[in-house]
Amino acid sequence: MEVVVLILKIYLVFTLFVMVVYAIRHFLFTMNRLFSEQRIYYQDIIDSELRSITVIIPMHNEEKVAGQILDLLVSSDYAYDKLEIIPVNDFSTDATRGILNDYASRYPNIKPLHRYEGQPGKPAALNEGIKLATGEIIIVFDADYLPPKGILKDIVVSFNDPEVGAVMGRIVPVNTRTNFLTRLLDLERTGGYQVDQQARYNMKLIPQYGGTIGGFRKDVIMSMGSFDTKILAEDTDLTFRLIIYGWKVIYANRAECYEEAPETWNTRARQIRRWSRGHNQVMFRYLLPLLSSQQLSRKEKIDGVLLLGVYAVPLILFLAICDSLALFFLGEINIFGGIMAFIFVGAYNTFGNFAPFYQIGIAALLDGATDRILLLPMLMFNYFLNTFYISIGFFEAVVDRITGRNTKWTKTQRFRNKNSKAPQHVKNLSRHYNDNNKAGEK
Amino acid sequence: MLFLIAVILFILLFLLPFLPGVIELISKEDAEPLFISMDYIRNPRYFGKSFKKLLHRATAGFAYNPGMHDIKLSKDEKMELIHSPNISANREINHILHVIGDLVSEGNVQFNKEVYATGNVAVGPGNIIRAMVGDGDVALAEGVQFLRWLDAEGDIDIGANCTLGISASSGGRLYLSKDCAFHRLFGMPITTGYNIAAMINYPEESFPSLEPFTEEFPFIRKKERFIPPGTTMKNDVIFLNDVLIGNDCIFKGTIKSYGKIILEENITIDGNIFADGDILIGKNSKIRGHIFSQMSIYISEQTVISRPDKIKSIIGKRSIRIGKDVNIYGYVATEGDGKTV
Repeated sequence: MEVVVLILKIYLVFTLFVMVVYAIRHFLFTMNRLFSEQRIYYQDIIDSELRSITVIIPMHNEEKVAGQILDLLVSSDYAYDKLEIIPVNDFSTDATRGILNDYASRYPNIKPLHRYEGQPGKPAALNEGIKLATGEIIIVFDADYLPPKGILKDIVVSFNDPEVGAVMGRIVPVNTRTNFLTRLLDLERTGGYQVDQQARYNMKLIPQYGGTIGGFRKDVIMSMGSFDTKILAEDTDLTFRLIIYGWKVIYANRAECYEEAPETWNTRARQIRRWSRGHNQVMFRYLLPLLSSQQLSRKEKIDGVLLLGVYAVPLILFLAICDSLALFFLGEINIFGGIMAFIFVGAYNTFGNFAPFYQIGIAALLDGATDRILLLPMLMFNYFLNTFYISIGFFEAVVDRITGRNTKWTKTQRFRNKNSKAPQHVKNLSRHYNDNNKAGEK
Repeated sequence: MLFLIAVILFILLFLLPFLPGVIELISKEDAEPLFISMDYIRNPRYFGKSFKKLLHRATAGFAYNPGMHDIKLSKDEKMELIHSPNISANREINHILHVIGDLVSEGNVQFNKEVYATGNVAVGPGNIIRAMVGDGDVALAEGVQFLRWLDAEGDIDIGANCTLGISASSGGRLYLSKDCAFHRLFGMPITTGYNIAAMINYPEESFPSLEPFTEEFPFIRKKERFIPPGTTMKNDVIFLNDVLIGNDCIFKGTIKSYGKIILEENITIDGNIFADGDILIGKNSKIRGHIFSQMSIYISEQTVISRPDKIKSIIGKRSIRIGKDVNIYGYVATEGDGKTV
């Protein structure tokens, strides 16, 4: 029994250590955004020589959103002869196929790829799209995104830097107003991009390619091998493959794009579970190669390890809560006496539960969105949901690692319809493009 | 009773942190998505184009009679329509000026609102101008100060000691004399010398046809801090430290440094230059691509950046200094201070 208690106590101290490390990380990022000189991104570069690009949009049953993203992309300011758009219809059973064919008939640079054989899922769809692509740079958007007119140039300009293997833009939820969940997700996104990603870019660490609103070099991905269809987080997989091989991933805070955030807790739970499973698959695969890579500095390796671990931390904390309960009922919770106990509890709650909260608060402040900061305490509801489903995702990744089983991609449900609460200027834009298209058809 | 009060107090204190959030959820004061300008595209001549568009919209169907008019731009404004005026010295003009034909101003005139001229413009010394756009050429005498921006369809000649506001852009040549302060410039070319013809025709043999780089990795990383004079490199090179590049070196690709890059004289670079530190470009160098620094950029005399048929950019976060007889085809921008020296 004594051995068990000792193990439980050691685990609790280990958790405290992990929490403090992550708290320091969040704190450094936040302070960096507040007080340090910011690195500028390449968006101010104006270039008359554009690279050829291929925009790939994986689509599985995307009839609600397919038309809008295609309308916006064909209205982009990128040179028409340098732009190829490949929407990949991935086993759709709704009207997606017809919509894509309709657009292809009107726009020669839209070249839909219909997939009804092989393995479904985003990584497989991307692999097929990349094989067809003629562009030097691959840009990926999810189908629910609303790319602004100038975003393609903003993303592509970074590839003038020979070290850049991939670039990631900023995601902004368009349906913030819809309900309580979308408001919380908006805060999470704000913290994740405005502070976390930008600070990592500032500090020359590892900004993460997020699989959408971003791009990468086609020849590099071809030379490294295509996306592994067993990995559910192909974006994180690409990030770590690139940095381990000596490429840089950079972040473009100004390349902003609206997305549709999940509007139901079930959808969000499935999404975060998939992210966790995929991210942890990547952690198991790349932790050792990352540490042994000759291409990375020490601080990049530390950041890489912490980045790989972010979807393991909720499980570590969840187990620590169970651990502390067990120790409490065993009468062994008194690990530290006096002031140390106070510090322990304070650190455990403040750093463990609230570490990202001040990061999010500062991010909202930087965005000039001050009233939404009042919602910060409510993030605990999202936190509980995340902890539970991320933990499940972790265990699934463990089983994936042991058995090498195939994974099944579960698409995030779309909610957009004519009553969706998009900002007025986005609605106007969509209406404008739809009117144009109708005029074109006539 | 005490227990009940304690329970109620506990519940109240427990719920207290959520109260402001509940109020925000109900009132939805800050519930709109963060704003993204869906139509935004990068245009170095945005200010002039945008103002002309606004003005044309506001004056659509206008009888172009000289005199004062009320128009609505973003707010109600007074606009004076005037034919080819010669504005006398020391005047202060507090309304938008819409000039049909050429505009000439004498010394120390103060234009507190925007100026638009359909012809050429000659601005006298010491004028202070909020913003100006011209359909023809613009010539500024010494010491002219712009508070916002300047744009012209034709050439712009800028005298010494001018301050050019946020942006100065031209559809043609943008000539800057010494000691001019700027943040953004656009011109084809931007020049600090009149020896344009020689620059435009700089010889193609400056970029000798080198063997293509065939190694597997498309760039190489180097720890060297000094590249000897006359070195030729075929591929993209990343320098991990500050680097000094000797005279007459030729780079077929892009160079990047995690520190400073100092180019001595007569360097030729076919690609871009990126640096986390300062970039100092020596005399008589030829750079075909972009120049981008997270710090400052200094361009010495007789250097040519880009080519007449290409637009490239020079971005220096902290500052940019441009020497004499420099020609830049494209765009220059700094968040800090830019100056011709």
